[in-house]
Amino acid sequence: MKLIDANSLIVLILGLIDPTQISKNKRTSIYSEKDFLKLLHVIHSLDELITIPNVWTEVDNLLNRGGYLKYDYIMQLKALMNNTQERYLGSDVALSRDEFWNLGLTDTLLLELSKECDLLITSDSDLSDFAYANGIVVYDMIKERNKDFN
Amino acid sequence: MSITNTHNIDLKKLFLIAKDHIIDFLNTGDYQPDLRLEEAKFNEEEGVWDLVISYLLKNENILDNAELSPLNIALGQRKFERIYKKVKIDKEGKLMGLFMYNK
Repeated sequence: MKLIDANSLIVLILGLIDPTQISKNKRTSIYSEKDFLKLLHVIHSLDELITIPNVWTEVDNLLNRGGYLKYDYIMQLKALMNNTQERYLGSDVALSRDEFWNLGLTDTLLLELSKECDLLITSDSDLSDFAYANGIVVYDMIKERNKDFN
Repeated sequence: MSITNTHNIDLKKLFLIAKDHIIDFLNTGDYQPDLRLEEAKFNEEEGVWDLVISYLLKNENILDNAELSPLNIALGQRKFERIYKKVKIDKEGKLMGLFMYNK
């Protein structure tokens, strides 16, 4: 299974709606259509994708706004939720981990679940640093994107 | 030539301007601090680019050979820490300021 975080999921959703929207969103401003296509390649198949309810909540808080994209957003959200997997981890799991102090609730839960997954897809440098330190295989979208800048 | 909004080319140019200043400021020698561009948005109100840059630094408050105590860990201290900074660059590519940034 491939575990995905909120920002990467936002890139995926915006890309599925309209790739030109990716660079217009503050949270995904450094990415382009090329990064979306690379992400699709990494995901390979939606049924391999898993996330946690906290991630869907973060995504929805950021994308469920008014405007002309709302309908497309809801449609893509439904399609993704129907075709991917979701795992619930109680907040107490995060509270019991030392990483909670640095990563907060959602990312600590992602770090924990990533230990059972084949790949963690993230666009959060802090989460990526901690995942690497824990020997987790990471597709780090920010690291990939920054290859174009160096 | 002013930096406007041709996304990919501009981001690289902006990142390199910020990187040059931050590397100079950090003075890390041979250590590569994994400098990254995290966000980049043109601030219409101020007419400047707002960039968020991160880098990974050794925590100088922790001794080289010291193991982290449970108290260090409980306080979120790590041997390395990622620092985030906001950088403002004008349309002409001049760095206007480097600011503290809380993610």
